[in-house]
Amino acid sequence: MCQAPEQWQVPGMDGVNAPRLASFGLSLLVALGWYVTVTAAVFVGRLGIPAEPDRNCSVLFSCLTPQDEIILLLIFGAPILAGLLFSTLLVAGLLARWISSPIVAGTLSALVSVVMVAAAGILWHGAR
Amino acid sequence: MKRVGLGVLLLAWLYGVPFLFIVGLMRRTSSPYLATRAEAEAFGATTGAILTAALILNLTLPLVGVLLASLARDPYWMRHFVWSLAGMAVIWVLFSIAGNAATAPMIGWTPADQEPAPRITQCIPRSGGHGCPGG
Repeated sequence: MCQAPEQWQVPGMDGVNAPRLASFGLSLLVALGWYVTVTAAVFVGRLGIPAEPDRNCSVLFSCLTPQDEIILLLIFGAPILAGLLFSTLLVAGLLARWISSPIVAGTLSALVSVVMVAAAGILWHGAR
Repeated sequence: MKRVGLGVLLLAWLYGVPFLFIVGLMRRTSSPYLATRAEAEAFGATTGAILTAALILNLTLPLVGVLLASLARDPYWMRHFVWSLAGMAVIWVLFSIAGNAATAPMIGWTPADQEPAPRITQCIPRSGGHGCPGG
């Protein structure tokens, strides 16, 4: 991490691959940071909301703890997460060529990937 | 070292403010189970504090960043922080849209509680007061 600021200082001024590669990796990190932040925020927000103590829990999945929900998300959402990561890789690779700032490129690629995955989900849902 | 500090400041705004907004808005839109009036007030106060912190950090971090980057004469982070002012405005607009959609105020809201309303179980006749049923 200590090397990074020096590389950021002259982003893409020389045609060498090294800063570009660093920019791609950092963009990817920034995009992953978004996913982690949003997931953590939803988890923390969910933890803080008290549920009714004596509610009916006889139906499967009706009384999940936030921890269970995260595990279920990882299991059943795995194809969606894989698609999200793949499109993030693709979009970050494209954007890192044009945008010199990894923060902007990473944020945009996270945003574009989420929109792409949501659009794919809507199309898939509509096609069924 | 200066550049690392400015980077940390920008990332704190970029990730920290949305984090606080997500937590705060989830609490604000939830219907929590709260047994007593005091619990409901505490829940509402915490939610308000989280949203207030998010709003204050959203206003101050980009401005402090612009100030520090101009003092440090760092064009790279200066550019980022000037753009973060636009992001600050976008977050502000999104929050005010959410505030307009809500029926109760966003900050200073108290959720409903499960505490039963006190019921009058006995009637004590007073002179000049209402008459008691059957009395």
